[in-house]
Amino acid sequence: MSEYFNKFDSIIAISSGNLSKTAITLIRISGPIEPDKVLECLSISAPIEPKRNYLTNILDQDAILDEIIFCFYKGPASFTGENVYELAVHGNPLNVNRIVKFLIEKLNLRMAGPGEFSYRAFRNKKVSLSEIEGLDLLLSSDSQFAIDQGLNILSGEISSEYKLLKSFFLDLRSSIEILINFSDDVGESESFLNLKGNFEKFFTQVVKLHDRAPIEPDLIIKPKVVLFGKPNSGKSTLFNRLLKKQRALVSDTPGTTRDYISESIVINNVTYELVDTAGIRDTFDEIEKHGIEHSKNQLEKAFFSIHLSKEDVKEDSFDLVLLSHRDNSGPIEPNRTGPIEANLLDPDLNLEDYIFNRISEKFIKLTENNPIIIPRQRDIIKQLFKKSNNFNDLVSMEDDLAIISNEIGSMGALIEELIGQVHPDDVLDNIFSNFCIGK
Amino acid sequence: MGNSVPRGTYLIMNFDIIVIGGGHAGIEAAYISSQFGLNVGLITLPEVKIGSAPCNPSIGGIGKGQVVREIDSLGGLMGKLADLSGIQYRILNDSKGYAVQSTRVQIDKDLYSENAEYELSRIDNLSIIREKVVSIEKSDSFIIKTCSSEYISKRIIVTVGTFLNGKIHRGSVVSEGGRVKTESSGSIEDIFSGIKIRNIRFKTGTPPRLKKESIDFSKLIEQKSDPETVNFHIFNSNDRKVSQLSCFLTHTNEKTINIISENKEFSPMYNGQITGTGARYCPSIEDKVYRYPDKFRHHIFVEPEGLNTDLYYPSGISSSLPKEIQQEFINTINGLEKSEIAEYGYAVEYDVIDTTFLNSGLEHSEIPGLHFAGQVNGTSGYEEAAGQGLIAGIYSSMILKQKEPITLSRKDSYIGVMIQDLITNTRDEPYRLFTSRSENRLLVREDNSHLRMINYRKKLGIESDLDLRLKKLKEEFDILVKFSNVTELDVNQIKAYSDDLVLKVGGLEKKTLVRDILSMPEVDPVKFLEFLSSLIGFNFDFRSVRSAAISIKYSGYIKKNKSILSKVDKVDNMILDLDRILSSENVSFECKQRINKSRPRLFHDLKNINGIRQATLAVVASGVY
Ligand SMILES: Cc1cc2nc3c(=O)[nH]c(=O)nc-3n(C[C@H](O)[C@H](O)[C@H](O)COP(=O)(O)OP(=O)(O)OC[C@H]3O[C@@H](n4cnc5c(N)ncnc54)[C@H](O)[C@@H]3O)c2cc1C
Repeated sequence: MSEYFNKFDSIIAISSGNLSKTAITLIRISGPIEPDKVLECLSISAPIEPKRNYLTNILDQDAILDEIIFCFYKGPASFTGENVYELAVHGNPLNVNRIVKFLIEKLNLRMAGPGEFSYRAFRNKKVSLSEIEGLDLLLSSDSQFAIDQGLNILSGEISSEYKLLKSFFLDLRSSIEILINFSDDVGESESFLNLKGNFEKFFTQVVKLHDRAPIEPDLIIKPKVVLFGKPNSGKSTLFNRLLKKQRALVSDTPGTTRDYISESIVINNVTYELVDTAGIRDTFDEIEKHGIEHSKNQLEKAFFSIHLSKEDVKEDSFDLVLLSHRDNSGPIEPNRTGPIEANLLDPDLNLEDYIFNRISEKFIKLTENNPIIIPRQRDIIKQLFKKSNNFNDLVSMEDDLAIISNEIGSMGALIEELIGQVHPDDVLDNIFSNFCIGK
Repeated sequence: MGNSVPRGTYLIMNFDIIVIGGGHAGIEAAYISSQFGLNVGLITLPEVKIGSAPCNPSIGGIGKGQVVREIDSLGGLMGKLADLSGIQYRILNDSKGYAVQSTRVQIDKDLYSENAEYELSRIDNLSIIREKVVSIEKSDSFIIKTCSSEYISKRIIVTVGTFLNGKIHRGSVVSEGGRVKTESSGSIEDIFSGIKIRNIRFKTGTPPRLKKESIDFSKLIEQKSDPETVNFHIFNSNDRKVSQLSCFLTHTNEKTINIISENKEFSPMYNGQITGTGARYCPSIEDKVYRYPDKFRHHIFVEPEGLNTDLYYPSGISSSLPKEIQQEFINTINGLEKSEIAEYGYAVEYDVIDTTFLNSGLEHSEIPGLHFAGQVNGTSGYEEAAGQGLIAGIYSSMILKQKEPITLSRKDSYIGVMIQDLITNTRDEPYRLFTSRSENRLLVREDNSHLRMINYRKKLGIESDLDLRLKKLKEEFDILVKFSNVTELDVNQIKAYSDDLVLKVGGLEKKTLVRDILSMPEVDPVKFLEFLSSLIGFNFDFRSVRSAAISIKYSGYIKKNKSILSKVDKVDNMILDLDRILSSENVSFECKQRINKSRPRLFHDLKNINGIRQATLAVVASGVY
């Protein structure tokens, strides 16, 4: 990231859409470049209003390159704090690349590095402390999910939940301060009710966040699809079939399957690691033992586990059981659950799509409520959950307000780590603006 | 006898330290400086009594009680004076836990001033000069001029309270003055050119005073003085120096509120006549009514201003409405129907210094040797003023004595919290200490103030009875803590205290450490340790027993906090490279300005500067300038 620090030139990036699939692709430019200059390559002329969409043509001298929708955001009121231009162009990769290349030359731009737009937003104070964490995640990760979450934090979905938590905490802190300092003014019993109510609100929010932090981050950042089974149960066959199929899906080059123990596969834009637990070592007894140990370990770390077996099994700790001893395959309809009967040697059997679907479904389900995966944040949320869980007991046992407030204070320390300072002035400000206080 | 300089003779005199202003800040500054053996002058307006209390007749209160005890253990005057004139004692938050308890003492205002004057005037190396300072110049030393004399001093401490450009408002009547019936001090620019004030003015106010015989006390709720409350001064137990009086409670009602609402246009606060900012925690009754129009019942504590005076102070209804309206609304209040007003309420507006120019000894960064302390720094309250005066006095005396001046940490004192808050930030309203400003409330308590201050006091190098007293109390405390950590009690021994407790402790054969009993939620640690020490025959000061019992009760939590705080500390104590921050492209211009002004030393100071952006903190914390 540090290579961006001292650069203030204008940059360009293709900001949205999978190149091959979307009909429209968004190209963004950010930097000091003035609208007049940009308009030189468009068929509209100055003056233009910021934040308005214009349907226009992009022109290389007199030749029309594309019909586009154009929008200008004037800095510093843009998301990077600089002048930003958005060009929605037709999504054909050849077209997009041609336009980008043209703009770079014509307007003297530079292709942005990963996260450089976000970095500029940060540099121009457009994002906050915990949002920076999103930026970090974005810049340091190569997993699609982590990138999405990085964006999510930046776009504020998670940080707005944190902000809510902080504001509930501020109320909680305020209510204990009222009890200690101003119960004369507010009334003793009203102050206690206030504390109770504010704790409930705070706790609900903690629980809400805690619910979003149950999954081991690695399960989603580098999800593993793991094949289990005794030697000769067909693991390698399945491994190769899955690999071949997805290669065929993502590229035109014919797949050469190799006897690797693990390989990357991409299903619905998510990259998984496909793991054959014992793999080529099957034949060596000694190593086989290790293999079993290793397998158990793998099961815990697996995002999706497939058990291949020649006999009937009554296992439910696997995501999918595949009975591979049959010569004839059983029915495989898309929403089928329970063991699948499959003849792995049958080339016409569309087993792969079924499995890919099941994997995708699980992934979508796990990620649909946008789990929090930054380890530090998960850790804090877990601690907060534990502390606030104990808090009720404490309040029922202890009538020493100093101790109660101390516990609230220690939750505050955690919240500060999560989203930044809770300053005593904020607490006092909250009290004075909401309660009639004073001699 | 100390020197009392007669008025009217033209003199030139030399001093080590001159304190300007004889309010709560000034008397502490002058007194402590004199204890260092320095030649001290205290110049104050002739018409204002020394150590006078222009507003509420009480010392202490939540958070403030701690400050009074800190001052006392450092060798200041306030605790002693409060005891000498204390006419009602109370512990606030009595049932809410020892760490949040505070002492408040109603004082006889006249006695307080008389005692202050007596304490100061009997010091040989301290001269009280009753003149108005009209100019200050700085060459090698400071030259301070009054109408008739010229004083030369190595260092000066300015504690002029609300007197800078003071303006009094009462209805539409506006007059010059730092308080009613006094003159104002003019502007600081006139007195000392080159010192900048803030471009906002502050405002405070006081309620009308009522004549005693016109109050129907039978309708009010009486609050008696509490005989148990521990006196402020470390040499006093809980015997009272003068006879005790009660305070009384009454409330406003719908009629009161209606009168105030109907007369909004006459309120200088609301018709634009007053532009200064008042404290939201100390609102006038107008503020309360206009901001919370639906609330009719506001409490009023009716407090005596002294033993022999005829005046009562109705706390909670400070007002700058015109006289007739004050009279009218007062008479709607239960018990005050026939009350006559002896002195009408008013508001005062005044200039304040920009404290971000001050260092931890409240010395001005651009004019070495010049200190500001007290309300002139934008604080409010007697205790806050006194604490600052004490620190400014200590600091400048230690410099003159060529010692390394002490800095009170915010971790172990409220004074430290206050000073740090003041010098890192300017505020939009008068600053008051609240216990929530301390990160360490379980440690920074009243009962252990003397233990928290003992090491600071030692460093002053003044050897007096106070130091012996502190040393003795510390020894007793240490013995009690050790005793509690090693002594086990069996069930029979506990039974002697309480049968209930035996049930809680459990099993017959079981022995329990005193320490563990003291930290049980259902045990009152002070009572239990008092019981044990009298059983054993420790003949210790009750202060030692209290502080040991309470410290043990909280020790687990304090330890835990320490580890949390030390985690925060690592970043907080990071020393800043200001040059790098100020030349960084990643810090906004506005942040740079703020940083440049208050020149924070540590990350913690930076964090506490108002308006510093999160992004700046992130940049500095992560070192990517
Ligand atoms: C009307 C009023 C209402 C208040 N209400 C509240 C309240 O509700 N709550 C609260 O907490 N606090 C209140 N206060 C504040 C409290 O009184 C002060 O915080 C405290 O007294 C400040 O102490 P000080 O030593 O800083 O200044 P002061 O006590 O104001 O002392 C200033 C001293 O400076 C001297 N002086 C001034 N100018 C000169 C000069 N040119 N030459 C020589 N001497 C000079 C004066 O004689 C005076 O002795 C109020 C104050 C006033 C005046």
